[in-house]
Amino acid sequence: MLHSKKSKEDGKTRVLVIDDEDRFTKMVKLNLESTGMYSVEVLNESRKAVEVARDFKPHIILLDVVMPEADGGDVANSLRTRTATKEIPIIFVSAMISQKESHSGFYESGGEHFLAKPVSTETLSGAIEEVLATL
Amino acid sequence: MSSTPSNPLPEHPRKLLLLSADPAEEALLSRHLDSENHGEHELKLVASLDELKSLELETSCHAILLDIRAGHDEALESIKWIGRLQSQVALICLCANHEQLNSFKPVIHLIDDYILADTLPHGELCIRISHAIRRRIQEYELLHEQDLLRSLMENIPDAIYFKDLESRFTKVNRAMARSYGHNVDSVIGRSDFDLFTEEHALPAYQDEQRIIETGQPIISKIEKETFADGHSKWVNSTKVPLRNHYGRIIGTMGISRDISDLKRVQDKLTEEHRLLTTILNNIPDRIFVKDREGRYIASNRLHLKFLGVTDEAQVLGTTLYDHFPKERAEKYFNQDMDIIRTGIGLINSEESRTMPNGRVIWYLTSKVPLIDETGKCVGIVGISRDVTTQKEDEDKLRKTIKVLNETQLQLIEAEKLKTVGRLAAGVAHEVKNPLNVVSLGIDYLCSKIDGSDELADIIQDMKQAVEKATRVISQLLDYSSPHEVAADPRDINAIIRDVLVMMRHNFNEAHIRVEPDLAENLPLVALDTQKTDQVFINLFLNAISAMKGGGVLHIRSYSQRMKSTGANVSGEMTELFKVGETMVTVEVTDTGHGIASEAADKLFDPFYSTKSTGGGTGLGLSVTRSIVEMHRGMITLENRKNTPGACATLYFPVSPDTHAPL
Repeated sequence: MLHSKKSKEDGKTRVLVIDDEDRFTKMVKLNLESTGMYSVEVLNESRKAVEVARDFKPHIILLDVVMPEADGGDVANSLRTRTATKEIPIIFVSAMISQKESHSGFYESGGEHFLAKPVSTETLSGAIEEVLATL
Repeated sequence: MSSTPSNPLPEHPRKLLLLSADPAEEALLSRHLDSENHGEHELKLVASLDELKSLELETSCHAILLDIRAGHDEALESIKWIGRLQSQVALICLCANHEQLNSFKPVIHLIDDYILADTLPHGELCIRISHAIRRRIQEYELLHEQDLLRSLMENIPDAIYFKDLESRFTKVNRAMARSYGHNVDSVIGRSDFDLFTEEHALPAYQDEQRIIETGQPIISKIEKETFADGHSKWVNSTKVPLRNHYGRIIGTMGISRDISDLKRVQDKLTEEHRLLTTILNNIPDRIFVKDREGRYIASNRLHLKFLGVTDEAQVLGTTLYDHFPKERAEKYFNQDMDIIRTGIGLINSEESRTMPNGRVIWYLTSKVPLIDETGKCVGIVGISRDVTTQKEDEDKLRKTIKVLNETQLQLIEAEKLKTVGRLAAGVAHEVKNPLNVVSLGIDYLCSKIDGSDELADIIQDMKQAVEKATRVISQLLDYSSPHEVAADPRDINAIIRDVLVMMRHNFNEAHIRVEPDLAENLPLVALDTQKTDQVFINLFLNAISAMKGGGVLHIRSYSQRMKSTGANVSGEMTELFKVGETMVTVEVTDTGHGIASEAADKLFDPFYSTKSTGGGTGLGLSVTRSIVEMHRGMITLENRKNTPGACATLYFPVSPDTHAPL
């Protein structure tokens, strides 16, 4: 519902990628944008998550779990307590999850969505579409 | 009497010495003697007492004829001197008349006979002389015997006594009187009742009366004498009837020896012997003693039992050969003889003996030489202890220690693995991020190339390399992830089929024919589907890599009951499964190269791989086993019998509530 309400100015889905690993975020941005379906903003300093999300207004956030400043759990909490950002769906991306646990690399547990690193472009976009489709 | 010294002179002819101041007397007497009995006498004149004194009388004559007519004083001196000798030589005085003889009254007892010289009756002289000589000898012998008896009575330490018919002492020796605290004379006329308590006096009296009645002696009776003052002593007493000249019993006589000291020693010995016997018979060891010839001379009760007899008499004097088979007897006998010969004992020699019921009994035997008081070896003493229990305990202990050591090794191994797991988790995380950068980079490049086959190939190679690295890292992470299973009752056949479908391309590529042989209606097993998938994927991948040129993969499933803990059931299995419990078993058999013998022990070790570097992580089987064990199951991997290939067998327990398919 929210997704449909949010406007896609250029017809692209806005994706915010929060990860302390800048080469990873760079690659995600490159790959997702090269599909022509996404507009990607990256953030390597997790404590700025709320601020950036508020400005960028992403349709979905890809959030790393293990980060030095504020970890994925803290960031998700912050986002979900702010009116402006609390409706944005989050997919956690973690190297701590094994491929087996995440099955095909993407899975749901306790109402949360997870992606296991390393993740392919195909899996990434598939997961994004799947989550957005349920809204 | 043999103890009487006999006259050194022959009896004939009679040698006579004439002590006379008148030489004419010699001729006169000689003539007289010759006329009575010619040649029977030799008469020699001795002129003075001094001359007589110079002679060895008993070798010189049988009798002295002393002429007392000449001078009284000289004659008196001669009589006294001869009498004092108390020899066997008879003294006959030649006197004028009886009055003359009477003047020698004080010494008359020293004179054996007299002859009235002036009126010598014909034929009487020789007889008188002969009688005098005989009397002299008899008296001499009597005196001698009296001396012996007195000597005996006075010096012997044994008590000697004579009693009359009423058991009153008539004579006692000095030792006896002294032992009673009396002198010899004061005891005479008294009875035992005066000297001892009635406790001793009465039976002694009764004994003596019986001897008097029956004439039967009592020989060597050991009796206790308790004196009136309370002190007592032990005596060895012999009592015999006392008979007079005519053989009539006139009393008793006895001799008793104080054996108090001996008795004390004997009592002590008896007591010590009793003590020793008690110890020997109650000690928990077998004890035996043998002589130089190997004959038993002592055996305690336990050793009797060991030999299978009840009475020591059945053993004493027998040898080993009477109790043991020849071979065994010979061994022990030689051992004994060695000890006797060398004097060197055998200490704590361990021996075993198999009993008829098959139980092996262990002994610790020591044998030492038996040395007598002169230091000579006269046999052996043996002591043997049953140490079966200790021996069995030792064995148990050894086994326990072995198990403990193995457990310790396993614990160390487990601890190592834990460390590896923790490291792996960290490493995996650190490696995955850069890997993802590379893989996403490749994705991007992939989307950008167009038309260049060469570039496409390179990128494809890179992609595969990254995928490979990712797989390794994922397995590492799986290995280190917490060992928890989300198990639900499942049909294991369904899992196998799913995996086979998933991997059908792999089998086709490797030219492997799959032959499933899955039993119908298998009981359900509590399984974590994802983890069990991984088990079969790993096993199938291993099979594929073992069958390089293609082959057959046979998968058989069936259920079975744990029958017994027999010899063909491994220890691990008996620990995991109870008899009667149902197991679902899956056998994965390939026709590949099998397991190399050097690999057999390490198959399940983490990071052990037979695949060439880059071919495998070495974690597959380790993870597989971990997963199987998480399900309370077991996995074995071994070569097939008689044909090339390996067979992995999985055992999963069927929980009681999951016997039937849902």
